[in-house]
Amino acid sequence: MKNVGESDQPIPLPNVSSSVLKKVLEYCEHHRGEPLPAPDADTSQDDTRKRTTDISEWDQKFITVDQEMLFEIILAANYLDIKSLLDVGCKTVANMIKGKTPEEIRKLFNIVNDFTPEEEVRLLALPHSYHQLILSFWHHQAQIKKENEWAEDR
Amino acid sequence: MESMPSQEELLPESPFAHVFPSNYAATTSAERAQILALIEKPVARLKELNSEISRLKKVIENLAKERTTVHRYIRSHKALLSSMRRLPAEVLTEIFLHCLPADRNPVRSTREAPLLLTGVCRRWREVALHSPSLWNSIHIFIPEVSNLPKEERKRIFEMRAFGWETWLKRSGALPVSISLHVNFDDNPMSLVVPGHPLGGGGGGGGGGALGLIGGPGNTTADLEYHADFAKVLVAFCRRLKNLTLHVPTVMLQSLAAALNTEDVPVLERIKLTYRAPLEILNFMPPPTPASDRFSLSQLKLLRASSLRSVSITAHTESPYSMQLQWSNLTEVDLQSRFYRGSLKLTECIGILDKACKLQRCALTVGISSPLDFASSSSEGGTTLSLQPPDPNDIWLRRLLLDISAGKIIHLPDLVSLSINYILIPTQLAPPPLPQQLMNLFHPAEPLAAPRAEDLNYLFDHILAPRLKSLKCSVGTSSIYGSLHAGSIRLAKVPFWGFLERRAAAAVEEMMGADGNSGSGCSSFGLEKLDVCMPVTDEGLKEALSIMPGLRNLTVQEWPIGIRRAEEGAGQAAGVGNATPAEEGGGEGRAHVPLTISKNLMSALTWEKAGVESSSSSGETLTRGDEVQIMDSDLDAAISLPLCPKLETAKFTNCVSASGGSHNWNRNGSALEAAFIRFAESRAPLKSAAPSLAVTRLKSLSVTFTHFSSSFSSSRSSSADDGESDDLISYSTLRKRFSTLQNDRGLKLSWVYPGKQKVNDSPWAGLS
Repeated sequence: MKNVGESDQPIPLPNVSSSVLKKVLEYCEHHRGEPLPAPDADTSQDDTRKRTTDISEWDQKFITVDQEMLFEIILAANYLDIKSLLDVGCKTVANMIKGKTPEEIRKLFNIVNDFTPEEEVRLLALPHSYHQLILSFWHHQAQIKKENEWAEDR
Repeated sequence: MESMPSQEELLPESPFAHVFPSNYAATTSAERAQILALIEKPVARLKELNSEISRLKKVIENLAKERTTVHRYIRSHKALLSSMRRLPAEVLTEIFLHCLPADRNPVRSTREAPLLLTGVCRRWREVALHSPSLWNSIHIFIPEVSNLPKEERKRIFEMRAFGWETWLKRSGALPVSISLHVNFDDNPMSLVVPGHPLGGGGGGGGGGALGLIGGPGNTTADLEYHADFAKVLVAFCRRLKNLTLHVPTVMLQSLAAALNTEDVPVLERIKLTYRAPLEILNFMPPPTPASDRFSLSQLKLLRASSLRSVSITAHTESPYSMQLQWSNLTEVDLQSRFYRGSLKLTECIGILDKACKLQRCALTVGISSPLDFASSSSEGGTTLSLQPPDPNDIWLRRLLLDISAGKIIHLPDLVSLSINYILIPTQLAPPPLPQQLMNLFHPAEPLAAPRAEDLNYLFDHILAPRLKSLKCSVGTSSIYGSLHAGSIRLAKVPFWGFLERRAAAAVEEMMGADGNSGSGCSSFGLEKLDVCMPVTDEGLKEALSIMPGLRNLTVQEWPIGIRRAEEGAGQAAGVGNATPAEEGGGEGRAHVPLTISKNLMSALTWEKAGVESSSSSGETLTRGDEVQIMDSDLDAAISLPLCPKLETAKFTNCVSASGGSHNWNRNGSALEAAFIRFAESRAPLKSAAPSLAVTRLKSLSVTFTHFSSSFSSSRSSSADDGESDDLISYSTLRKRFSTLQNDRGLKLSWVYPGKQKVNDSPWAGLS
């Protein structure tokens, strides 16, 4: 909102519903007075040691909402440029993703598997000789599995 | 519609009910006819019921099908409105970043981010592949491959190299963090070079004198694979920020040959687990001329000017010789259990003088220890046995002169210091080879006790006003095995002078004219202490008395003490400034030099709180349950204990029973009782008002060296009857554990080693 500057004119929030705005205001009220994150905080993400999915107790309780509301809050935080709230939302979604299989993730978030069968072909469970055979058969169509062949499916 | 028969009509009381619980068989035709008549109607009814159930099932199935169709229709349309799908790519990237492991580099598993995210849907895949920050760190593991067929070995190396490269290419121009762990055969017995007196070696051929590189199974081709693999790392060297390596020497040689300091302009952190297999044995004659041998000092990236953190473990050469850019470093961890990897005291002083920006420091320092301590001490045991520095090292020699003239090394930013002394015999000439190999498995080579002057030297010449965490241990080089079971204990901790100077500085600060506190130079600021050394309980008590801010205390009983206690020997030698410690002090008790004693625990016990809590707690302990540990006078009862801010305490290798008889005797029970009393005094009941003077103890961990046989037998006996003042029974202990954990909220860990078990399975011996 820094582009808006100081003004007594109403600020339109077309992408934020009233129920979501209420939640956002509740968050801001609770964290009022806390220092803002350093402006260069997001540039240090290459450092593994700084990543964490820890969420404070209050934030955890605050963000325990249904999935639709969770994503609405994330969208609102992104739109309103509230970095700390965006962080809490993203960490919550990340925690939901961790430890799940692609199929479980799709089911959780209602995501359609739109890969072609060729892209999805399961090669990893097969012995090496079959690998070579099928790889040559599918050629570059088995793109994902081919590039992940070096990885472990466990 | 015909009315349905009632339950009574359909299933009248059976005249055969009394034989249902038996195996009675109806044999007469009259009985058989009667039974058939009785079940005629129920059989018909059962048929009707089955038919009705089938019909209803069909109806439910149809309804479920319809429901599924309707639900799918609604769900498909609702999904179009889902805010999840409206997330912009940058937010999705942010979510993905939080999916990466927080405490390590991601691995090549499709069940974990980032690879997992590329297999969910096309959009996620696109976003993931175009988010460089998801791909700028990786951990690669290469298994021990010497037993695999040649083709399989080649495939593993090629696939790993391909995947690694593909992964890192996705990271754009970001700095990268790489962790590489290569498993290679480092069994000492398989590392003997051909022609060595022990014979063997080079089982895989091609290794030859290169047995020191990758074990006997490695072929020349494998060595080439390793070297090729290192090339991938070299390709990304300019973006290398964090590097963790556990690799065979051949890879380090490749890196040493390929990389100069200017090739790694952003390298900040390096962690290296070094394996120089032949040198594991310390004494073995080198197979090649010194000029051909690899040295870590050849690894120029260790001297990169951007480097801030260096960690090298298991190294077999002095870190001083590696010529690191000490003045740039903020974190140093150079610990090795091999004496060749230890620093001389003089070198350690030199490093600390150069590394003025250090924040965290862990070093292994070798102490030359006379093999015959008694004769050495009689010839002037108070003389410092400093190993002289290299005559050509003018700078270090000059520094040592300054030190001897009273120079103190200032480490203004140091917050964590760990010094691990290892004792090295002055006679470094190795014993006969068979004896050395025996030592590997049955350590027996004795060493004498360390001398206070040597241990004090380092601490006497440094000042670290911001130090929060201090660890100091005394051990041995692995090759020399066990320590001599001497009864010598140091009267003071080696860092006593260091603590005193800090305390004096703190007092000075508090008395400062401007009265301005909080300048950061709080000499009482030591919060964490971890010690394992031969110091008396009184010596440790004295040290703790000037650490009022201590929150975390770990004390490990020195192994010598354990052995001595188990031997039950009573002789004590007061030599130099070391004194024998007296445990217990009662009549007929052995003089056992222990650090963790009931005397120490009593000093840590808050007597006032103990009195209050036991009188107000409402616990229903009988007289027999009470443990009288010491006769404390009134003054002691109302005074503050040592370390009033203590929150976590850990005591390991505690010797609970003296004399090694494994009896639950008077001394043993008293130590356990002292621990319990300490815990109860420092962790008051949850309902009690919090004390401002003494912080609540949150966690206590105690481990003992052995289990008392009579302790176990007391489980079944009613030991509560007839407990003496110092005796604490198993049932009492259990009761108090329960109170400590449930009513006082203490996290308690209390461990005796398990009894040795013999495999006596009925299935043993079957293939």
